[in-house]
Amino acid sequence: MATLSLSNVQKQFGSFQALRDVNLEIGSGEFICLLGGSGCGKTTLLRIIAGLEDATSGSLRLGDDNLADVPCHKRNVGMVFQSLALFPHLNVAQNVAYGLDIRGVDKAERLKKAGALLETVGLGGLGERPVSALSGGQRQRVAIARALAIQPVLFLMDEPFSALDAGLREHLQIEVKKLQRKLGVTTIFVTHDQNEAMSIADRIVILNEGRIEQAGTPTEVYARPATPFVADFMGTNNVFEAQFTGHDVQLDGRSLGAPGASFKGLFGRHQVAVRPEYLRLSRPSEGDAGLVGTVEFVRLLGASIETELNVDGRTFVHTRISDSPPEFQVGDKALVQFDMDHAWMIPS
Amino acid sequence: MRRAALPYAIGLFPLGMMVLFFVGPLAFMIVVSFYESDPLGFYKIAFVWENYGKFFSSFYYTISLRSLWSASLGAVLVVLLAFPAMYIIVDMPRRWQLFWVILLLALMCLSEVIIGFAWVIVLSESSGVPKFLGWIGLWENPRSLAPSFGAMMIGYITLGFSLVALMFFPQMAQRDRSIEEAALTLGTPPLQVVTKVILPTFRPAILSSLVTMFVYFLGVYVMPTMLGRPQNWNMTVIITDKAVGDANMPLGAALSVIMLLFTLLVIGALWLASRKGRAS
Ligand SMILES: Nc1ncnc2c1ncn2[C@@H]1O[C@H](COP(=O)(O)OP(=O)(O)O)[C@@H](O)[C@H]1O
Ligand SMILES: [Mg+2]
Repeated sequence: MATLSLSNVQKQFGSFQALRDVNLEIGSGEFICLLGGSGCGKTTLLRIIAGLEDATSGSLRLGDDNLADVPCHKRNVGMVFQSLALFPHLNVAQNVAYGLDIRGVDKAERLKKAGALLETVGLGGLGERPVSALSGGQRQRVAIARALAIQPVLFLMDEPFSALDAGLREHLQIEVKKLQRKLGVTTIFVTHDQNEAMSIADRIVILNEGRIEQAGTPTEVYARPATPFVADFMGTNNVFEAQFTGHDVQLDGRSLGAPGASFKGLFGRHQVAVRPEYLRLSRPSEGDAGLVGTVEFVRLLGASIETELNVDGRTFVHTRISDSPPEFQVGDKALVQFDMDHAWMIPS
Repeated sequence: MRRAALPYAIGLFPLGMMVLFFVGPLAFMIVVSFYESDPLGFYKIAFVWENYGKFFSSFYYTISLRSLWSASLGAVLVVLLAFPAMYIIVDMPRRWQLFWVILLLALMCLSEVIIGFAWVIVLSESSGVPKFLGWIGLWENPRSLAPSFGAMMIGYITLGFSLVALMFFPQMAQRDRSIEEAALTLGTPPLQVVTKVILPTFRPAILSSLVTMFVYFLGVYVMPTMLGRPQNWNMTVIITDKAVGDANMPLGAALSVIMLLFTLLVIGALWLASRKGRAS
């Protein structure tokens, strides 16, 4: 298999620009998640890769092939559509065997292969059922098996699990990831759910208004967001513009403490992101010069406790392991401090 | 007790309508089909098989085959044209879709006689297409194109097109387009998508519109008489001819009963075929 490279891909619908200057290299066997809010161009990008839509400009290469010259039906791309798009006139096994039928594989052979694939996705013995007789999760598996049956060079999935309930979704995420590892097929998975992306992707590509904001491993985009949008989207809740004076870090003229090793010698105003787990809360003493906020909301999230504070109109979020009961109640005052060793400066 | 009776009482309404408008006239027709014809009146009360016997002459046999042929050809042509037309219309921008749907509805409102007349004029030697073709030199000796079998088929198509197109409209507009795209990504060449995916998913709709048109065209009267030659006339025209023209109600009734049985037979056969098709 080969590397998929997109360079300067643009897509225009009339005067609306759905994709702007998309540059991306996807290695063989990689599992990529396209992550972004609704309408940011995820489906459009996937459809361009599949050949269902032409890019307005830019190039698309798979290894040495220029994909622009290859029509959709010759790209050998397995795609799971958001609506699943199973063939209603065919039964489960016939759906899975469809691509092999088109490729001229004889009936006995293709039904055997379909049966084996159905076994792999946990639908052994259901081949004779009409697709209308399956549950949502089962249909999902049929769509996956159908796309994989053609041994695709690229495996594309468009928000495949968004209609399923949380438990089933998690279960299928794990299964898809395992299956992808086993087959080694290059996979592009579209989702708007950052938790889903975090849990299955080798690399996450975050799209916003048709532009790639950042591409990186889950830990990279989570801990070191490249833009304020990514920081916000990935749930880095504490993003603010701080003043670096060389010996301390200030917010609105109040000191947040020493800059820590990573920001030593830094001057000027910079966007800083601090993950909620690196905030420290304590009881303020009289006349404290630090940031003092009011607790607005406290909630238990199973393994952690989340506390939301308001500091002069800014919102900060703090989390910690829930090994003891919350020490702050709504309305309490708390001194907010940051662990600047774990702060991340968003490049501007 | 009273409450349980209410649903049944409501059911009486459609039953009553059926009896009044369908079963009643049908029963009367069946009864009349056994009467004797009376050259002076419409019929004489009797019980004879003679009217049915007449059907089994080569004359009626030929007419039956001819009716069958023109109705099935008409049905196939209408579906063949309306299906792709609607397929294109539903992917147009909303305003154009609306335009076409309104146009089709308007076409449905036209009476058979008006459509017939329009075609008679358009196909006539003195004022229509043949004259035009003669004038621009494409046709040396222009003749009227109507009446003819072809003209009659054109009339059939005009009659049935809008109805069939509108029958396809909801399912086509609401269909999941990604099913066709899925077929493409799985390697189906664009033309084969039609035969492999589109036609099979519309199979029930296509069959039912074929049956509807077939039955409808078996019963048309105006189009064959206005646009067809006597040798193209279908059973409906002949029945009217016998019952009204020759004042032979019993024969007309017997022919109608035979036509009805025949139609039911065809529908039954198609229904069985479609069930078998789904099972395989
Ligand atoms: N065929 C189209 N014509 C016009 N606009 C389109 C078309 N397809 C998508 N768009 C627009 O492009 C944007 C991105 O769409 P899409 O890729 O489907 O977003 P996502 O999948 O990320 O939700 C949306 O604003 C959408 O309205
Ligand atoms: Mg989408």
